[in-house]
Amino acid sequence: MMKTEEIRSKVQAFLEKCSKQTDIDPNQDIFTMGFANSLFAMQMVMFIEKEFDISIDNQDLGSDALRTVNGICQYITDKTQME
Amino acid sequence: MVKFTFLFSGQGSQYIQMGRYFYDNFLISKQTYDEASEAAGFDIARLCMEGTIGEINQFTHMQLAVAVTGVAIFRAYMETYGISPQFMAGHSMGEYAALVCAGAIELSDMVRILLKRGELVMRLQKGRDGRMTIVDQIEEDELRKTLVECQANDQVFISCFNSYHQFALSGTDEALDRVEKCLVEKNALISPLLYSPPMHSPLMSEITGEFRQFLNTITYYPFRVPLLSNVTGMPFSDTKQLPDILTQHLTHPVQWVRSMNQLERYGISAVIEMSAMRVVSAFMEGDHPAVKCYCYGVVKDRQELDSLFQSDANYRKDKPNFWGRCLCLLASTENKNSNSKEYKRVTDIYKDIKKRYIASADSQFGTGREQYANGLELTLEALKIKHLESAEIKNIVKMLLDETNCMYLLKDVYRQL
Repeated sequence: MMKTEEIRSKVQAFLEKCSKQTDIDPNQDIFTMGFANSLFAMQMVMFIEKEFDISIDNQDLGSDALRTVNGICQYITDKTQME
Repeated sequence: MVKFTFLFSGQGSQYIQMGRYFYDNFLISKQTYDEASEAAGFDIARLCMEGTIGEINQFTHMQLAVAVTGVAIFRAYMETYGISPQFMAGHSMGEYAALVCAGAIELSDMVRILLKRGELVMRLQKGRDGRMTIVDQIEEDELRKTLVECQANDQVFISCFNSYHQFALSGTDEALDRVEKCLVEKNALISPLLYSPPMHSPLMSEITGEFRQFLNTITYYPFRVPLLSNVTGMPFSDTKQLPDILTQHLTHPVQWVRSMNQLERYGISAVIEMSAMRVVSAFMEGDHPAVKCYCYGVVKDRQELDSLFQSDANYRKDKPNFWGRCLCLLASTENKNSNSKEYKRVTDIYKDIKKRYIASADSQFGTGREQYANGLELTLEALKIKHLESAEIKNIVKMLLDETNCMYLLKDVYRQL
């Protein structure tokens, strides 16, 4: 199974690629950061599904679980343990 | 009466549940998904309505979901109102939906072409990188300047001119990263599409030969409505050029801005977007505020269109009537038969159909399958007496069935041609 650190660095790298910003606060709501629109939300789902081989339930989209770096990492950890 | 153009969106109009309303409420839309699924070998309605976001965004799937839903929505519109537009235009993969709705290709062939297109693009992308990005809040000149400043203009290309302030770029990963950083510094807004192949750019050159070969195996039909082509941004209705145009579509940018400017020049006052959600009509609204924009996939817009079409009785008159269209075909086709005894039968058929046309105008008379099938048989008999060539007859019948939404109802007769 993937280590927590590895998950975190992948998520960070993805967000940096999309936002062209570094040092994103792990607790900041990424959907208030200006770069995050509906196209981005779609990209994030594809990133998580492809990179971690899990499938995101449609109802989890837009939920609070997927709004911060910490939340996303936790979601991925929980999901990979379940599957 | 308002003169319409119909628009079809490409990428960006897909979401889970897309097309659901039409699938559930219009037999013709369900039949459209069914035919497409059969041609694709998998259930496209399920993909659109119950798939996952990951599935629907996979390139080949997305093309099919978007294009098939466009056709399904257009046919629901035809069932309800039936008023033909002056032009059609589809953005990127939406151009394929427009081609089907304009009559130039059959739905099942569109599915086959998109499967081939998807297969070739994905094969090409397997061994290399390359993706797209959407850029907002910038002018074209500034964007071009940025590509030069980043020394990226041989690796990053403007692939869609969406509006005066929105563009898509296609390029190799490393060069596109560089350009994106510069753009952010210039306060442009970027939305990287990490999983979108670099379409509509020279990065697709390698597959053009094979795609072109495949396109040569497809049957094309005359356009019922002219299309504004993505490649040129200009009106287009020459069937013979389709294999070339669709091949260039892979490597040339989508000239959407040029198309929309062209529409305004032609005095188009309204557009209806035949998509599951508003995408391209929003570009139109921004750049051409005088043009009224509707999206037929949006409830509120459908209600507005309802009131518009009910406000003027002329709209109802413009709805294609099966018998009226048969009469038109009989009257407008050339007679190549000099035997006046034989031709007498054509005149009799014309009179017969005219009676049914008059009866159908003020009642539900003659709308059943049996009556339509019989009417079509009579029309065919007359066209044969006039010595029309069989390819010509097939084109004419396809046009009749497309216009009157009878392509499934009278499928058996058409297949025998």
